[in-house]
Amino acid sequence: MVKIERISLYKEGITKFFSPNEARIMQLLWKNKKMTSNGIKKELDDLSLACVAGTLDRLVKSGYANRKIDETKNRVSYIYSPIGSRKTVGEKISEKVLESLVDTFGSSVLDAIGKIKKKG
Amino acid sequence: MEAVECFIDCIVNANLVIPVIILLGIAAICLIFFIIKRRYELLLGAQFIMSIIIIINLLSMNCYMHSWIWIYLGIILTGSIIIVLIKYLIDTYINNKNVGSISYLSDIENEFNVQINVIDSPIIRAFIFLKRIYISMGLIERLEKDEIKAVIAHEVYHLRYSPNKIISSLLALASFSFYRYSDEFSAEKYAANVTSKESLINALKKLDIKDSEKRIKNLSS
Repeated sequence: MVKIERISLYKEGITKFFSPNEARIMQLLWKNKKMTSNGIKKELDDLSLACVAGTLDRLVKSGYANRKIDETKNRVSYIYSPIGSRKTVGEKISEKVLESLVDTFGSSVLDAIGKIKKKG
Repeated sequence: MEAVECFIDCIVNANLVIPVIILLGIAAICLIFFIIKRRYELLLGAQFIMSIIIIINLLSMNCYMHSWIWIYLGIILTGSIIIVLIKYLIDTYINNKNVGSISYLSDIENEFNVQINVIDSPIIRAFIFLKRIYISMGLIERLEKDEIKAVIAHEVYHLRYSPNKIISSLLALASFSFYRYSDEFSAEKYAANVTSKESLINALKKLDIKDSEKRIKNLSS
């Protein structure tokens, strides 16, 4: 889960940083803001409820999602929501990657960022 | 062989043959009645008597075998420390995760006259700890209300009729029988009777717990 050593730059989209299931669930949470595990399971019907619950638990433990107990008259369930928008998470990951690069290559990383900025 | 001869000599010299035979007889009677009646108190009684026999015998040793009493007490002490440590760890975990009663389960609480404590965890768990029933959010999320009721009924059986796990573990260790009474099937039968067999079978199917297939088969027969 967004560990420097597990970043795969050759993969598509946010699966560079998250596992495919984590990425699918995070996309759903960003889109819907609040969801139950059953709601997520309905959207991702190729995954089992146990797999959805396990992935959500990992996302909560690593600080990308939040869960609260929601109690209505007929049902009790966890409501999951993302911690931070896609943009905030992007900033957090970029910071982590850049810190690691600066730690290894020093000021040349900042020079490279300057070059990218000029191109952009 | 020399150790066994020494052991027998010490018992004979200490005039403990008759008391030991009497105690062994009582333990055997307890065990026979336990097998017939399936009352856990009889098993605990037999294990307690066996522990007493072991202690008496070891205390009567006059030769080098006397040192076995320290090894025996060391095993019991280590076992007790491990059991207490496990209890402490579970207690700490529960205190951190306990959200207490929730109104969704209040009708089940009233029906069985128990308090149901909800654990804030997606892991699927229902258990008894220190005479209280705990059920995890993961389990509540996964099951329908009638299925939750069947699981609670199973735990109510353990709460009211099962032996204390700490005492039975200690006696299993102290008597060197290493056997602990399990009444899972009785708890399941009770739950099926006071709720419904279908609800319990559905819960077992959904939870995919240890021996669930065997337990479903037992209930269906």
